[in-house]
Amino acid sequence: MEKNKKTFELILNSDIYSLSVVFGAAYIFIDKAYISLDGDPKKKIKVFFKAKPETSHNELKQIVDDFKNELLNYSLREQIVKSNQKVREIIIAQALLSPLYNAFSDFTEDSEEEEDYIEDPLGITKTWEKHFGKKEKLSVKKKKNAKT
Amino acid sequence: MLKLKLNSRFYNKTAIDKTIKDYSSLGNIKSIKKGNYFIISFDKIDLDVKKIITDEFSNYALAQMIKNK
Repeated sequence: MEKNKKTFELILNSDIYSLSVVFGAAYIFIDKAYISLDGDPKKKIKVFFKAKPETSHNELKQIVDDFKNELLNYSLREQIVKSNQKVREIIIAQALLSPLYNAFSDFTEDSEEEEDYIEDPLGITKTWEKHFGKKEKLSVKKKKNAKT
Repeated sequence: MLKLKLNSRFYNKTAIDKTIKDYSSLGNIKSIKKGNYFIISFDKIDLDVKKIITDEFSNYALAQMIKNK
């Protein structure tokens, strides 16, 4: 809505455009025009545009039109942020927990290294003969001795 | 004396106080709250900025609101 040659008033439905969207869009244009907000953030948000001394009427009109486009842009961005919130949380959690996970896995690897399989403390790699061969020979000798 | 009304449902006290502090070198600026509005009064303002100070003040306060969010 055009109030006079140097000011514009835009009335926005807060069901369509949230306050954060209006703030975000307004921030982009505060170097081009004087912007102030009024009304009720839960019902209707009034955005007042006033031309800066060096800004012409047509330029101000263009700024208001660009502001409307920026509102749509910010609304879309806000929707994307909301829809991707869980994914972002998971990515952040993963990024924060990965150093802990790495530290834990290093710890478990170290503990595994303590019980090195090459050392074979239980003698799993030894053959049956190596384990029991000598005993058998001994038992055979004992039998021979007993006969004599 | 110049006066400016800013809606307290859009502008908070922190943003207003910060703006007053940053603009204090340009004159005497005070704010009081009446209902849903901050009434900001400007006194002894530099002549160079007298025409634009209220508009610049509201822009600056708006920027503070966004920065603080």
